[in-house]
Amino acid sequence: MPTRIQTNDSNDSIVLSFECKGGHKSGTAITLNHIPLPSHSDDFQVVLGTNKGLKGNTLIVTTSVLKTSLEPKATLTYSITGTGTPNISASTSGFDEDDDEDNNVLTKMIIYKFI
Amino acid sequence: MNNYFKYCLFLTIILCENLFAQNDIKIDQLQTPSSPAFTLLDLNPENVERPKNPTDFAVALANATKNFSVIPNSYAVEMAPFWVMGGGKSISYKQFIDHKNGWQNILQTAVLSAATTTSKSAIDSSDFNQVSVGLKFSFVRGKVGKEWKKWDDSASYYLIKNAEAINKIVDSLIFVDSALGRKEKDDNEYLKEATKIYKNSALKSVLNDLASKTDFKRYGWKLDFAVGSVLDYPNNTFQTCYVSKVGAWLTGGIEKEDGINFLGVVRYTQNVYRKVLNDNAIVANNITVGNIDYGVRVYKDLTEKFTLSLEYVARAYFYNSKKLIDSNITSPKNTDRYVLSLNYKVGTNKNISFSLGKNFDNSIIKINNSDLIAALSIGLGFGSNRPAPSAN
Repeated sequence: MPTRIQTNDSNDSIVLSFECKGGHKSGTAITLNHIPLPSHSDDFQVVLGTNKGLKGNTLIVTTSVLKTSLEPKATLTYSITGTGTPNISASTSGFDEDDDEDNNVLTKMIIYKFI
Repeated sequence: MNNYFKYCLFLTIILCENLFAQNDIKIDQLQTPSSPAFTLLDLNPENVERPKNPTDFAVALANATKNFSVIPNSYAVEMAPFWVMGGGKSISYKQFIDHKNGWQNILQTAVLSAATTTSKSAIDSSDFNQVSVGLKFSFVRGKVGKEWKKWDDSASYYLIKNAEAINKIVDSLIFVDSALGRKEKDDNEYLKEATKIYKNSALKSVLNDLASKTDFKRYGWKLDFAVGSVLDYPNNTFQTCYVSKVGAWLTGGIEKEDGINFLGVVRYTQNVYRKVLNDNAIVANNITVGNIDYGVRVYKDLTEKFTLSLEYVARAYFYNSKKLIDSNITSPKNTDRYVLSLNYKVGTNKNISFSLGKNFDNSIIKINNSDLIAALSIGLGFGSNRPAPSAN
């Protein structure tokens, strides 16, 4: 299920942060309510908007990771801050765990619903 | 029986290499064998080791060309503890590429090595085993060059293309589910559906190709530290072993993107001879001789696969003169060594090196008076599922 983020009526900024551990190269695409936002290479931090403005929107974040180091796994951490309680979602995946035969690239996605 | 065992070991190594070679990512990080363990046993073709990134497990075989018709009797293994023990889990891509953090340089480049060889006794020419262990790491490892920048730009572009395409499909799937009033699915279900729909084999092929081309070279100033020791087993029994040599050395220099590269070495070695024949061919006990080696290596990559190298190393001895005179042993004179080496990359993680030159003169042990270096060495890298930026 998409992750619910409780907003308030303030003009406080909501920030999305991403980091990938394992020494691997990554690229992330972001869509906010069907509108593509600028994409990012590797770790990043981006201001999505205000609590007030984001209420009712859906955010889709997709990251593709390319195996670059010896480490067979990658740990991807997405954080949403600025909404009272920070939401941190971390997951570790192995390149060979992908159902796909392609084991040099893994793709992760997280959906946020701002309520 | 001994030869049969060695033959089996040799075959096992070749078979294992073939098994590991089935890994999807191939990397080329193995240069001429340069384990500290090999250096202390005087088995390295070069005395001034070219800094390189560690493969997670590498094996080097060495043998004098005059005996190359038989199974090699000298082996070295290398292991990168940081990578083998999961240290890579905690680092970011930036830290992996970066060269400014000295602690990360040390962790990521640390290599433990062990080597074994069979030597001739100075007393009765009988064979005995020597085992050597060593540790090597880089304080300064150079920065990735232009080819990395090109690779990084391409990788960013195609990874983002892949992520954007999947993002767009997921967005559409959510929109359709919402429009049809269907129940929301789990994130992973949407991702699975999207990856099933998005089958861009050309993009996958490009990304796989990029994953196989991460053998980035590092350039600029480099500084390696190595330390190790040798254990002798004079009776080939475990109980009789003793430390016959300890050494520590610094190798540093500059490697340029184009042009000739220079490396220098300063090495201290302490040799302990439990039993050695003196000038009257009588056994003398417990002779200790230290030496400092200092020299340079100049080399150039003539092509992507072919490296030409020339090195010169001088050796200065220091010892207790009274002890040597009392033992009736001629004091060792300062000596030098020069070697011309040709290194050829046969394939992924496979190197052959041929070296020709003059070795240090034997000074205390007089069993082998030949100072000719004519060696053929093979380097094999195993399980190197790490297309890391190499320092070569």
